[in-house]
Amino acid sequence: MKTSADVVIIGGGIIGCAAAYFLAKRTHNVVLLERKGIGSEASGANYGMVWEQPRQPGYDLVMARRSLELYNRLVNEVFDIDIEYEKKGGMTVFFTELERKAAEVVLHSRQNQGIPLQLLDTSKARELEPALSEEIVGAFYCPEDTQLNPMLTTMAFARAAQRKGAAIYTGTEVHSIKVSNQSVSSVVTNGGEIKTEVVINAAGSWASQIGEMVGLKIPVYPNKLQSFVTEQIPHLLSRVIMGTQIAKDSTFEEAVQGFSYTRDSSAGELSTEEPSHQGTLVDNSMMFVKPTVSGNIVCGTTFEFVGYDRSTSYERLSLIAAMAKRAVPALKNIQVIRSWAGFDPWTVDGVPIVGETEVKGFIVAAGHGTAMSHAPATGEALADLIFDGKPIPFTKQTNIARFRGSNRLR
Amino acid sequence: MERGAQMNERQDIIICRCEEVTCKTIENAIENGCDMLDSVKRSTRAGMGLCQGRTCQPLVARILRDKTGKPLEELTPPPFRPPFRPIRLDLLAQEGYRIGGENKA
Amino acid sequence: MGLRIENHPILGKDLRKDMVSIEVDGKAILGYEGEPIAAALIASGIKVLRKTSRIGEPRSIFCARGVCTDCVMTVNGTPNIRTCVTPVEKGMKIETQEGLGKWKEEPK
Repeated sequence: MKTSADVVIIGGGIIGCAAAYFLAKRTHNVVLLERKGIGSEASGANYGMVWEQPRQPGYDLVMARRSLELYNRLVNEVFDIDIEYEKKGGMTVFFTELERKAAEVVLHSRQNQGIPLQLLDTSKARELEPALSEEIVGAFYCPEDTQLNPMLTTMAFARAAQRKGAAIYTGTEVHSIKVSNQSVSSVVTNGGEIKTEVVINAAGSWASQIGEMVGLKIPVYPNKLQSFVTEQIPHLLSRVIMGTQIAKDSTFEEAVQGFSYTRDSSAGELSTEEPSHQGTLVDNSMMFVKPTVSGNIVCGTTFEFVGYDRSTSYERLSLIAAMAKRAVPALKNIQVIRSWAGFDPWTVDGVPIVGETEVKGFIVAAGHGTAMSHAPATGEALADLIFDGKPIPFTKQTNIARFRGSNRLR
Repeated sequence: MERGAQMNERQDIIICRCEEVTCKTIENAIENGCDMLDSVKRSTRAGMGLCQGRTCQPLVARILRDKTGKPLEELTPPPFRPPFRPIRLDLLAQEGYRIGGENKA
Repeated sequence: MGLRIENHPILGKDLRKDMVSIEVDGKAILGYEGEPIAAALIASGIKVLRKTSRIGEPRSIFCARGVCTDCVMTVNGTPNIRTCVTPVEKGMKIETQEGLGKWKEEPK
């Protein structure tokens, strides 16, 4: 194992591996530490959506757009494995008039952001996707939305980083981080100590534990998502379909709000406390149906805060099955072969924590929840920050200072 | 195949019968850094098929042991997750229908 | 009927009498009601049960106990049915499965 590095990245998920690649383009001395295997956590358990459709104004939209551009180039020129990258467009389907009417309002605001979003009626939606239920009253459709295989994409970034000289150590756990004079000096692992002045905390749902090693509170919490996969079937769906999180008895305002997942943190102090989901099980579920290149169909999901318990439960898997069948009736006779749970790194305002912290050299890039859509641009921004001093875009929105009771660093 | 087959013929042996993954593909994945059953599975699809690794997992574990030197006890399989046998989605959905999964919005 | 065990050292004589007709790739064959589909097929001399998706290799029974899924065929329009643990029913329509198979009504 190397004994010193220009940058040590903690976490072998999509953010860490993308960072490793972009950093390795600038220096040979990059080390990535992963305690299990590359992409073995959220990056290996998600639905592989790189969508423009749902993006929120600010950091989210800018990073997703840049990432879409970068993915195009990476797939054609850099990656040495097929990551099953397909631009099929994405659909969000609606079952009620409430959702559809709220969607009309959201349509205009998204189009004003320059997002090429369309609102389709039932027949147009079913023309694009014949397997959709007749019960659907309408759908959002964005032709720019793409899907990929998240596990393979994470590996592709890792391999590309290694080709540029990055050293990746799996099965390697970080035990402590040494800090002297409020600045990082080394990382201690189960395989040895690595001297470094720059550490990137890309540990996703474990970012808070890494933060504790340097005495910082990093409020990223594990939001448990359950999913299952079916046997392989001949072509049924062309693209990922998702539902909304809008409850039956919502007001119109709540329904419109239900299309957003970030909230403005500029007003007042943000809570850093342990979260809990409010409402019923049905309230805390959201439909995803993803066709894969291999022919398996992945379905999800429900949301829970239960620490790091990875078990899947009958009740939740059953709810996911009911939601999936509602949207795609033909799924009813298809066999489910495996389930799993993944931890989506969650922050209270829905915006990741990216950038420098109170400890010099300790950089955070965690809490994404939508990391597949951000990873390339995040890797690029981290390299620009470390080597050129270029600030992370929308620093006020993303910096950890927003949790410290003021919006200014230090 | 006769005993004492050449090394390159061994490489073409199919280890994961469901996904038709050869010994060579698995060994390449290990050479490229996969050192656990889980990462070999993610990289090659061995264990993702209809039988979910029931047939190939012990074989992949042995290949990993031979190539990495790790003892079999360390090569723990990915955790078992329900369903333990394939189940029709409609049957699985019964409880979901009861709690209103069909009428969420 | 060459492969059928007519006199088993522990189970004794095979006393089953009535066979039912099932269809395999359009051809009628006979099997005992309730025995595994794979048993009826192999007893009739049919060895290849499916062809794999990627290489198109022929597969038969392997574990013969419902675990390995090598023996899956399309039964009454539904693919991926494990024939070593699925009982014969009179009038069943069984097809050699090519790759992922085809659903009776296109799973729709």
